[in-house]
Amino acid sequence: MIDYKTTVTDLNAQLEASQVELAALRQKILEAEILQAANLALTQSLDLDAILETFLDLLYQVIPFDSATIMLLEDGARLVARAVRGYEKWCDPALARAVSFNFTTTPSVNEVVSQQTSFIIPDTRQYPYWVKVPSSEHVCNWLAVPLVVNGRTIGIYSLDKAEPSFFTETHRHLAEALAIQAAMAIQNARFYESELAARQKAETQANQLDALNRMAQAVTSVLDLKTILDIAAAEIVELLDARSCGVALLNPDRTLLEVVAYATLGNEPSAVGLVIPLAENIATQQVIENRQTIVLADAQNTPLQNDATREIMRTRNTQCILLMPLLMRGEVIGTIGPDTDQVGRVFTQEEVRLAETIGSQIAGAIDNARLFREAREASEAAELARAAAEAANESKSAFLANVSHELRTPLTSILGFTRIVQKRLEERIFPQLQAGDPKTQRAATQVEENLGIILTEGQRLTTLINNVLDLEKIEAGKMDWSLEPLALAEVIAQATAATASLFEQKGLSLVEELPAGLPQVSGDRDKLVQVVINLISNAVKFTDQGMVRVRAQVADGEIRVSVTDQGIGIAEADQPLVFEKFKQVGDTLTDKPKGTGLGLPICKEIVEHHGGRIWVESALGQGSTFAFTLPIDNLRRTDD
Amino acid sequence: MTKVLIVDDEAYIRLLIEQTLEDLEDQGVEILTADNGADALAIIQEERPELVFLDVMMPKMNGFDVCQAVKRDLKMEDVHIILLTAKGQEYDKQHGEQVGADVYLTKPFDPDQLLDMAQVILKV
Repeated sequence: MIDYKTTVTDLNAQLEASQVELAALRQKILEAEILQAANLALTQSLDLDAILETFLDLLYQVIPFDSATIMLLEDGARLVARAVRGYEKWCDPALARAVSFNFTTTPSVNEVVSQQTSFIIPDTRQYPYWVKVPSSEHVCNWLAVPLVVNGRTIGIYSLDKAEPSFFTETHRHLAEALAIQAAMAIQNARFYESELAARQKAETQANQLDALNRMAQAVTSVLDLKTILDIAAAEIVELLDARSCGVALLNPDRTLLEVVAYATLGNEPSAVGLVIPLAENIATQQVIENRQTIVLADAQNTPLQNDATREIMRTRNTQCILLMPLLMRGEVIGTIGPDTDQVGRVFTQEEVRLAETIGSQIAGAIDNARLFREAREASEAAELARAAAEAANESKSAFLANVSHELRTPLTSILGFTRIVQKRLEERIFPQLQAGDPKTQRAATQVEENLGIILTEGQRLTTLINNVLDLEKIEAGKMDWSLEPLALAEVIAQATAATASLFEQKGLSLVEELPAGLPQVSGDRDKLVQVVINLISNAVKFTDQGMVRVRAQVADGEIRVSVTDQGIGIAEADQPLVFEKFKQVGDTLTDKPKGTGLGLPICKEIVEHHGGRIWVESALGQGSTFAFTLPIDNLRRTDD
Repeated sequence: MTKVLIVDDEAYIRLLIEQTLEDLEDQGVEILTADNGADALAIIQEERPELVFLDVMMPKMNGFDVCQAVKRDLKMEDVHIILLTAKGQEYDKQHGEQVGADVYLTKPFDPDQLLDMAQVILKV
């Protein structure tokens, strides 16, 4: 038969066991739910304080403590209270918040931190090592749990109960489970906090650097002071988080400041044009005289400024103003004044330092801009002068080309018809004249002579035009030079042949002293012939009787060619002038010029183009020697 | 009949050259004149002169262009052209050669030289 009694007992036992299991299961579910909620809550935020508060909320829901403290490890050994709860019932919570101690000094805490185990003191009155502090007078039952991340203790939290033996193993178990999640969240928050701080610091620095760079770039690209100051004011407002910033310049006698630049984030009217006298404004005076930055925390009431200035501050709702000297080349030229319009917003020491850094940047920028401007103005002026000279030269060239053209056409008619008239007279008319009529004969002779003069002077005019064009071309660098190896003897021979008729006309003799085997030169044959012709015809022109000597010799790696006459000579003072354009020596009003005034200047240009020199040796009444040199071409000799 | 064309916008220059070449008329040379480039080109095509004295700076069509048209475009190689220029610059000389001028004379020119040239070219 069935032993009902035993069976019932068994069933009861089983039921009881099931109920215990069920309770345990429920507890587990509850714990899981709590952990899940904790996980969710603790990952909601990255703000450390918010996380600690959330954690204390959660703890209280599952372990109804009387008071609790979360302490975090700082500097390796010091535990510092970061969040407290529930102390107001027993003491001033500030006492609990102020708790900070070396964990090794308290055995129970030391064990929690070092061994990373939770610790329960069922009754502190029975515990010999309990350390009493003002905020722990009420604590009877104590549960402490380590906060561990990756094997490292970052802090602990402790729960207090004013009655003994309240905390159970279940509580301890839950507290440990929650500690794991809390530690992770705390670590994340701290990491984020330091990361954030570093990033903010880096961002601030980057912003400042950026602004300074921007300012430096901007001011080097603008030339006027006011634009630089406008930019500076705007940058200061941004960097100092100021309401506005005005920049004022001192007047010439340094008695007034006038605001010339202004930037603002608000919508109050511009301060540009505001005039602030230095008299009675002690703070402003000090800024200018001592080059000192001054912060007026209560700008509307400061005794350091006068009534009028304080009134301006009130009108503009300026709360705090920073006054900083503006320097140019080491001189104070004005002030920079950022301000705030929020009560209690006073510029910090750090902001003052930043402002001063910006101030020195502005000073440097102003100096740079000034130097830049001066350099640019100088080079612009030089460029303008050069362009003007070039334009003048171009228009001169064009003018000369046109004048030349306009002169040549009538000259062609004058010379051409004169020549035709001359021929007609000689060939057809003079032979028809009655021989023996002296008057007619004399007239015929005069007509012939006059026609000769017209032709000669017309040719002189032609030469002058050609010389003007030649000189202009050489000076403008437009002359075509055809350089070739030349035997100088040939050049001289060509020139003497061309001038032979001049010697005949004046009955002068030509003496040539040309040594054999003269070295070659590199040169433009036609132009060198032109030089020698010019010197010889000059010599003939100024010599009335005697001879003209042409000599060539080698000396110091050069060939020297000289043409000596027995003419009137040239005074020493006049000698340098003969190579200048239109500077014929002598009084042009009384002495009739005999050349174009351009022959020697052209000779000089030609000789110098060949790398030689030209000069005159003379004394009044003793004739002149015109000489020029040419570099020898590779020391080759013509007879090689 | 041998023909010579004188082209210049300046009447006195035309007259000067005409008188210079006067003696050639006795030897059966016909002298024609034009006072601008366009007329000159028309006369050259129609009359085919042996020799042309051609001024450079002229209205309507300059001497370079006339020379270019005759020598390069119309290939009238048997028409001799003497360019007369008042500018006397190297550029003109080069330009004259480029457009096919036979001779290049700078004003003021020597009438005797001009006559000599004409006689050589016309073989009279």
